[in-house]
Amino acid sequence: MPSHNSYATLGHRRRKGGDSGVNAGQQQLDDVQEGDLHFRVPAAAARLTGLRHALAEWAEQSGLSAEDREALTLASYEAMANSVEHAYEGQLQGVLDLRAVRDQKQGRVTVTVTDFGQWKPPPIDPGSRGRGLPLIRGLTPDTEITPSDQGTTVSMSWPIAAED
Amino acid sequence: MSSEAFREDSPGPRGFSIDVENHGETVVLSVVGEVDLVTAPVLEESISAALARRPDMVVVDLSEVGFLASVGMSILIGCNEQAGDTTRFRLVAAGASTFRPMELTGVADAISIYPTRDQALTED
Repeated sequence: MPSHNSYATLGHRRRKGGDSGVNAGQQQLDDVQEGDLHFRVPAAAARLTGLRHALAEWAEQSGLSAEDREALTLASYEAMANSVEHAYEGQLQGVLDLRAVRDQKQGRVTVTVTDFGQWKPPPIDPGSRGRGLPLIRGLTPDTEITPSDQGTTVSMSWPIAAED
Repeated sequence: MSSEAFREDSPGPRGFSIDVENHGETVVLSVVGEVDLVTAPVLEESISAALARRPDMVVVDLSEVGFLASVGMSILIGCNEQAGDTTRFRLVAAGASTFRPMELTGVADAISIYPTRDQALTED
């Protein structure tokens, strides 16, 4: 199937049990619930543009306000950029996992970015490049960063406005 | 060279371009597209080249920028420092995709930001 955009081949699933097209080198994502978004891609800057657009498109249906959707897209991009720039320094190729979930019961949307590299604590003097984490925290009412030996997970949540 | 334009046609469906106009001692850079890890180096190169000519003023118009990642903001801060006392460095930005993130990161405190290009060009 020809793709009309750059992310159509990444393994995006809009419907459970939908297109199961397996791409070479692409992890099969069987646990994605209907309406959720899940990608696992090489941690490379060039891949993030497509992921961001996919996420922005997904967020259109999330129930978030326009301002929160902007915040979600930017904060998620910053989390992914962090992984691309820092997690796999000195390694050939890393993997990045992006998941976006709309939790109706909890009334919130959560984006989780996971890498499997090394957590780099922000330097005391962040210099000119250390604006990513403060920006994520400024854009996100609820941010959780979990570094571990296996990698780092950044989880960001936004409340869904109550329906009329 | 009085006018030049950089066009990057390949990356992404939305494209990215920076148009450079010289108005006497003022250089205006109009940025169109999304500033992220892929496009930010182009932004840095374009602004640095404009500052290297030491004009009185450099205005970077971000009105047509739909996405501004922190890498882009760091470049703007660096360019503001490069401008120093020689060149007045100003931004045009309004709205959720550019002004708000620059407010959150403190960039708006460090660099003069105007809601319109006219204001950036005419205010003292």
